[in-house]
Amino acid sequence: MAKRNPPLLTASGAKWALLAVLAPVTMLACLGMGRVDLGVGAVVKVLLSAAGWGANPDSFHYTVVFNARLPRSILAVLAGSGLSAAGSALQGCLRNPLVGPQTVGVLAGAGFGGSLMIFFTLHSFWVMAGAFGAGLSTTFFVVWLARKSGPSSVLMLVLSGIVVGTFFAALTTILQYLADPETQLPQLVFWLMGSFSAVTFSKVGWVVLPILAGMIVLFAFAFRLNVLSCGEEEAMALGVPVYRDRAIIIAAVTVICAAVVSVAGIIGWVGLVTPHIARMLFGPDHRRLLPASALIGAIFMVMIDTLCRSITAAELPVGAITAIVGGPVFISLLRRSHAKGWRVD
Amino acid sequence: MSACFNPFSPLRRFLVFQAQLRLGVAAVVLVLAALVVFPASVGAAGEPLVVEDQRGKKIEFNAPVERIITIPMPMASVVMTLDGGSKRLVGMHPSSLKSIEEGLLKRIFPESLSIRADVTRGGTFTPNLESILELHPDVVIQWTQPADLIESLESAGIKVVGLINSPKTQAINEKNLAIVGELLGRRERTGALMDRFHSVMDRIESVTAAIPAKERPRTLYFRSVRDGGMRPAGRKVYQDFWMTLAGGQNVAGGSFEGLETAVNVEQILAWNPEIIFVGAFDNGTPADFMDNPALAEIEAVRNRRVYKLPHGGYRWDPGSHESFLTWMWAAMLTQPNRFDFNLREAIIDAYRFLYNYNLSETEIDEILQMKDNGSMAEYDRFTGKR
Repeated sequence: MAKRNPPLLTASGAKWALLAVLAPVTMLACLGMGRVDLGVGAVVKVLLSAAGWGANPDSFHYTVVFNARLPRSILAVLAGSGLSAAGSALQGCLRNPLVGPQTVGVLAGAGFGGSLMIFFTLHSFWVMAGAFGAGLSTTFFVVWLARKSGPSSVLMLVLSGIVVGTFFAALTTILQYLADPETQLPQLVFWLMGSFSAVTFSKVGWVVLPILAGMIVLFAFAFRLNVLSCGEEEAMALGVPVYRDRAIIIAAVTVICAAVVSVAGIIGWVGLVTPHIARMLFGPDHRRLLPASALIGAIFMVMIDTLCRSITAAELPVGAITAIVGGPVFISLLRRSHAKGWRVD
Repeated sequence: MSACFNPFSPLRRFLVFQAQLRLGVAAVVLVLAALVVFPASVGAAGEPLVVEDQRGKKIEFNAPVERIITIPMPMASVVMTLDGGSKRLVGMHPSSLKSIEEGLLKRIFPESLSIRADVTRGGTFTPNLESILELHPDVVIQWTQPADLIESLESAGIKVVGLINSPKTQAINEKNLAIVGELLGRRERTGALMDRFHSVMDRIESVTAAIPAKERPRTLYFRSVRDGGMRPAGRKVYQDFWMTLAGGQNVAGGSFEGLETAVNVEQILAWNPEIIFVGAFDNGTPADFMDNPALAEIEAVRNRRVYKLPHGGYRWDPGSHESFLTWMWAAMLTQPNRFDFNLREAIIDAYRFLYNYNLSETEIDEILQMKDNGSMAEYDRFTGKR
């Protein structure tokens, strides 16, 4: 595979065009699927009437599309694109294909924060706030630990993240153990498993800003990420303030992930699988990789969420389905590509 | 004739012997008869008490049990109810204590608030062996599933009576209650409770058994509605049993079993229930349904037929000693044209029998969740003012 074709503008353009068409089509098709039989036609009619065109739709159809499906689909788009962009940025910044949002401890920390609020039977607003706050502070703690042990240590950062993450996961287990089995335990388990089913427009409103802000910061740092992913010494030699940039990127990643956990629980795998798919399709340049990751992540997440809410009467836990679908997809892609897209050096 | 009065005459000795023999035979016959007719009364006089639990295991006690620990959550309240007090209860599950503190029982059995509740590992059903041994119990009442909940206790030499977890039918509920009654030596009182169960069951079943499917409203019971997710009862749970008994049909029953399955708003729209029951274990209320714009199209919401389950001596959702009141309440709401009990009177009467307690009007309102349910359809039948 040593032969390298110069990237054809048309091929790349076709991929972008495909993504650009696929994203809205998937969204529309998924809005048409579910436990209530509607079809795309009814969805289009509802959406058109909401935009001011066409006749008033059936009020039942309106409720299904607007209240039951749209809020969670929007959140799935936000969460999927956010987690996926965050995963891509972390992998580039830490130069390691295996890292994801869980590596810096933010998922476990946010999980513990939210669990603690449920344990004290506080309102769901405080569950969200607790998860968000604890996720942020956990990552800051991890970064501080890594800095303590020497300036240049990506390894220390990853190790501290894993240790602190395991520590908070253990604390969450203790909370599950102490919780009242009739009243609190089911809430804890349900929230931790992750689900978009309790999403409303007001919850979307709470997290849309942090997620979008985090993503904008990541996009703005796309070129710096290219430099960082060449290696620490090279980046320093080029005059990039490595530690400052790394801290900003990790902070942006943390804000995105903590916001997602706070409304939808812990959703693993998206931040690992979709960045790799994007890397295979669009290569290692973060200026293209990050938007591509975000788009693929959004499509992936909306499809997974549609599966979760439609296959059975029971709502399936989204975290488990991302792993079940994502794992085999990931392995087959890896076998076919032989880690293409990681060869920068 | 004088010979007859001679105490040493052979005839006299024969007559005395004959009389003694008759007396002896009569005594033996009487004792045998007593043994046959009154075996229980002999047991009370020091013979061993044998209780067969839900595992089919026979547990023998040499004296009346005086120190009881309950791990299944409703059983603390069952023991106090059947025994008429908390004297013999020395330990219980922390959640049982919480239910006493939150509900009516703190007023009925105030002395139960000081009973120890550290007999489990946290909120689980795993026994805390150290603190159980410290309490020197005569018996521990425990769930039978999973089996290791019992094994650790029995291997430590503690006698365990096993009950079937969260009974899914009335038959299992009654057997659990009967076993506890037997253990307490309260067979008569337990029998009187069973009579109440059976007479209410007959009155409701004789009406609802014949109701065809199309006249049975579609019902849903929610174990939780807020942060725990929307989790309706499926098949094979006690809530499915009483919704069917009351003349409804559990629409989630066709899809899954148990109480742990979460569903989404859209599935509820697809089921379109006519009546919704909101469980008493959860902090959710009818307002969670009435105020949710996504559920505004549901028939139950449009017709204001959403009801919070009552909470008295125990929560009315699962099988307990108060379940016959659950059935009456649910029947009146599910088939309003077919049932017209005086529920308030029935509750007053039941609480006199169960707890020897006279309820105030305010307490009945609290039990019936009048605050949450008062504005719902048909609920004015329970205000006593209609």
